[in-house]
Amino acid sequence: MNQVTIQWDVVTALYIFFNWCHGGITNINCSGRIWVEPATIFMMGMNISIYCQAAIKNCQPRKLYFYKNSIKEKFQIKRINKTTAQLRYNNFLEPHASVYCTAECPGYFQETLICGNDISSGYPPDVPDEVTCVIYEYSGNMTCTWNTGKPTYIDTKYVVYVKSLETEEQQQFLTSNYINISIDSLQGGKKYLVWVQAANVLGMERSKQLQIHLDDIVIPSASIISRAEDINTTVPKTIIHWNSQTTIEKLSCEMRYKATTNQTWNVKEFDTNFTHMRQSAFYLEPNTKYVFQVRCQATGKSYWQPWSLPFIHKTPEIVPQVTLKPFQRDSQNFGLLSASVFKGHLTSGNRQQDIGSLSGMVVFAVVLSIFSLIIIFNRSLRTRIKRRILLLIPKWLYEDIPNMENSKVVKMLQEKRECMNNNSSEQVLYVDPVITEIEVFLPEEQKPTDSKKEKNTGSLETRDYLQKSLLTNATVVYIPNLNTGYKPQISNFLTGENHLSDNNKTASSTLKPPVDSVDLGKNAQFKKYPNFAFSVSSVTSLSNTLLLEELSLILNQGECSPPDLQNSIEEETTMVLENASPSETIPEQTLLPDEFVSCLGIMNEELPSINSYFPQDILESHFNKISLLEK
Amino acid sequence: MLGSRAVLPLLLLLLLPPGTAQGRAVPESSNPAWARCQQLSQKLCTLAWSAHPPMGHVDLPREEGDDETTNDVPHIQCEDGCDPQGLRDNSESCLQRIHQGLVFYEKLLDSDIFTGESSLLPEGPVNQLHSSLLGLRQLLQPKGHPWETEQTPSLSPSQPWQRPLLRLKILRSLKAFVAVAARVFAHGAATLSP
Repeated sequence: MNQVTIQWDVVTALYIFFNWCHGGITNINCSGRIWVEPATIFMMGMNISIYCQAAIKNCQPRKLYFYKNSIKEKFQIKRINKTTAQLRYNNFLEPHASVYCTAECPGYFQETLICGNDISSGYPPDVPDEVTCVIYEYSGNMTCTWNTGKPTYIDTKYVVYVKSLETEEQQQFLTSNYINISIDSLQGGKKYLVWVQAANVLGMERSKQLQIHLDDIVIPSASIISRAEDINTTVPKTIIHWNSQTTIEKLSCEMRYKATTNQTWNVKEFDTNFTHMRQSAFYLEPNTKYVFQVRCQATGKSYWQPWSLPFIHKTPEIVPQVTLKPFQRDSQNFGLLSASVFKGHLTSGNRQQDIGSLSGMVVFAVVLSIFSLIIIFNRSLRTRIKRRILLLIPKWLYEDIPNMENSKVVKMLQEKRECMNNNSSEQVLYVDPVITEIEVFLPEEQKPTDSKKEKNTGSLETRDYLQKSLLTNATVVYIPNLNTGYKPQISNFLTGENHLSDNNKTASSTLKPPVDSVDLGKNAQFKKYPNFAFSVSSVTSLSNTLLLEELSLILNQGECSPPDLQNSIEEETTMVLENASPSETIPEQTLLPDEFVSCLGIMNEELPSINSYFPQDILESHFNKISLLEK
Repeated sequence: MLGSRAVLPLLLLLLLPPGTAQGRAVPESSNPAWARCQQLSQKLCTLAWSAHPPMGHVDLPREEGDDETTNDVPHIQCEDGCDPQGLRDNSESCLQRIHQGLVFYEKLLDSDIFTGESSLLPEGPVNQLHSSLLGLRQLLQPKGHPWETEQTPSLSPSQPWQRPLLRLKILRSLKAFVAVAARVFAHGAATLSP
């Protein structure tokens, strides 16, 4: 009985073993072998061959079949011998594939499985670069990361080497992507060399060595924005509060913010000693939803915290109390305002913030300077502004009776008043006559339109243009003596003297028209005032500044000045003088200081206190005529 | 030998039309929700067929030696009492056998053969199959005294190229198992339901 029991047990054990040998439902029973040349893992794009050799009992395979990913292959199959076949693939690019082969055995409807295999293609690893090791405060680990380069598509392992510079002890850490190394395992002091070695079946590469000091790679614990507070002062501001659990005393922090509808970040930097709760004020647009983020680093260190989670805050609806809001803000926020004005330059880095703020301030300063220079040098504008103001304010505010004893000009004008009224030619007898040059050209109707387009062409072009305008417009050119100052001056037409040549040869030569272009006989009927058609740029030319100022002054006297330079270019100031005669065409041109011009500007509007002191009748009639002509 | 011994009563059971069996009532303690079990088992049959991988044009190749051996899969045999008479007398042993088979296939569906990397098998039908299998197993499990699992698959890590073939083999076996189980539950629902 016992013997039977033992035999039964043996049979049972054999049965179980037999079932196990034949794999069962969870195993595959191979009847042959399959192999890949050059290897089952190869460089992507290679030509490969898969061989299948059958070893089936009582079967001489009639055909051998290959399946890749369960799909029967029909091409590139070559029968090597009775039991072996070859399948070729050219430029194989699939990262992974499964192949198996079968045999067609006589007497069986089904194909008989021979065996299968998995093949992989990929690349050797790139050299790991950008190796970075940081210690997140309180983590207790040193986290090392690196850039793995392009995908390898195959299993690639990375070994991190950490070598102490003090004890020469070297440690290795196997990983697949990044690694956290416990600081407790780093017993070799503070200074280490770290490098990464990447390896797979196709190759191995090693990174450059990174030298670290454990104290320099600590990243403060995360900063968290806790709340926002809106302060309703004259200029509403928003205070953002944030905190951190860090124990690092000196921190450099950045807070970036933007309207949720905007794509550009504005970055505000803070470099202060740490206190448990930090706060920062922002002057934001009302009724706008903003998002804030903060990050910090130990001052002077390399690694920043990641940006904190976005904190969204909507500013209250507040109507701005002052229209010129930006100018009311204090200087501390000037850079911030500039940064918000010049959008599009603050993306993510503090460097861009610096550049943006600096450029904003520079541009603002330049614009302000240009505007100031325009006001300073544009006497026409200044005079006009002054005249407007005088018209607006009460008379008693600007009424200033001049002291005649102190005015040499007034004395002279009064002395010669009668002469000036009766015979303008006698004005030449003044001691300080105008050093002008009066020449007459054949008048043409062509307007100097080119001057409207020219910009900043320099003194040479100005000279050319002046010559051209002199030629084409047949104007009478008045060149004031720069040394005579502001005195009533009368230019004598065709005196034959070139006063300016003594004082300023350059100006004289440049402004003097060619002799052959002068045709006095044809222009006996007309006297023309000079067409002071200057381009804007020529006015600002340094070489001609004084001269052009004087010329501009002439233009700007009283109402005969065109409304602006543009009009002066377009309009020819052709005038017929009262006492015009072919032989003695003596235009009267007066150079007066701005104060006088101002008085002249309002003279026609009953300023008795001033009328009594000046020989204004000539000037008055003169300017009245010019005004009428302009109208 | 053992295989032929197990197949014969199953064939007899399959030939028996549902609802024709008559007999004594099943004891109350082992009386499952036959109608619900019938419904779930029929659904299992449908899912097992639909979970067949999309390689219909490729037949599962035979493995050398399959003719002489049987797989280590659960079989419903004569002594399990799944025939009409056995169900009338005591259905517990039959239900326990079905329960063991469901546990076996449930573990296979959880293995890397089905969960491992392979794009050849649609996950939807397999997931439904798994959940239905679980539902039927829980329905059969008596609340007072849980049955012990006697048979578990010998699982070893599979290679990717093997998985499609193994899935075919397992699904083929599962289809046979749930077909018999569905017949049992159809008979029980027709004759043994209170």
